[in-house]
Amino acid sequence: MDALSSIPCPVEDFQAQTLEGEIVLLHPACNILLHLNPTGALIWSLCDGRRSMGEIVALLGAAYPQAQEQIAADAPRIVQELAAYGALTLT
Amino acid sequence: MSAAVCIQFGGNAVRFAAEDPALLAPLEVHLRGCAASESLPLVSEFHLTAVSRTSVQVVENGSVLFPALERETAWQVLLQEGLARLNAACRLGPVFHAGAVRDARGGVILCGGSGCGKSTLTAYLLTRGFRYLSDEVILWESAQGQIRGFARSLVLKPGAAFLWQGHAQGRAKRLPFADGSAWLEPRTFSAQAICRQTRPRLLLFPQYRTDAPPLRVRPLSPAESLFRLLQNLVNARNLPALGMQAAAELARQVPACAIEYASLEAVHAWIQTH
Repeated sequence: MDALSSIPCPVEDFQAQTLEGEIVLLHPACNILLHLNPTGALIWSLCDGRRSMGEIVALLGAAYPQAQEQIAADAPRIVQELAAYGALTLT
Repeated sequence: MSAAVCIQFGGNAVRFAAEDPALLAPLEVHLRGCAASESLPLVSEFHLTAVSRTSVQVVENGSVLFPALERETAWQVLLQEGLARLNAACRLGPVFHAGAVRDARGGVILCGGSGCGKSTLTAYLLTRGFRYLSDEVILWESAQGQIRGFARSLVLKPGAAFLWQGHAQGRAKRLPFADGSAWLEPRTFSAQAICRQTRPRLLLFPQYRTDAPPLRVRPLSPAESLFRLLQNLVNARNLPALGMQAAAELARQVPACAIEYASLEAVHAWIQTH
């Protein structure tokens, strides 16, 4: 499966607090605590279990046309990192 | 003849009792700032009995906790065990590993785990006229917008004697231990040293480093502040949403900085201007 066709889905039971565009995620049972900067918070908010990675990249690219190349490189990497930390699953 | 010392924090109390008052004398002096009223729920009772000239048995709520402890070790252990019971029982709000002091403008929280330098920094700020809430844990009462401290005697690490020697003037109530640490009664610095509660105005996450510049300060976003607070939260399981909502309110309301320091004076000077 290529990265852009994967669908990132938030892992259940995370608690989230949004503060000034950044997010803190806490999963008590898994003992996971994460801090997402504004970029990570934006990407997290787009991962709804229905949008593919390609759709997320396209959405962000449309919102920030001057940064399309950067988005295409960074967004999949950030999603992979969130998956590695246990915050997302990729289907 | 028997004696008892009752301490409180976070809406609950712990009681230490003994037939021989001498076994409790250090606790009576060094936990005076945490004295409990009769009306608080008692979550634990520790009973001390001498088993030899130098060791004591500790029974908690009728079960033997320690069959034989050196007396000196017993006081140190009971201090930690008593506080652990109080932290575990507190449901009034989030309790953080943090020292706290107060100046004329409000409370300064020094948040961090063991070894970050918060006790030494707390003690130093007392020598500079700050008032004392705690050097170990604070309770954030979000509805009132204030913090309360566990105002036990300061626990000074080996090598921190310089902090009090210039101020003792013969009236220091200090209890040294074989490992080089010592308990120091906060009223050593001022009769009005202890402060029960205050509105916080500054939240610091200190880290002492011998090889660091005198002071390096990095402002934290509210999310970064919350992230660090949650790492120092000790009673999450007792609280709605694991205390995250209440901790977020503290992070939103109080400006926060991470400070890396080698100079206590530099930290004091910075706090005075911020």
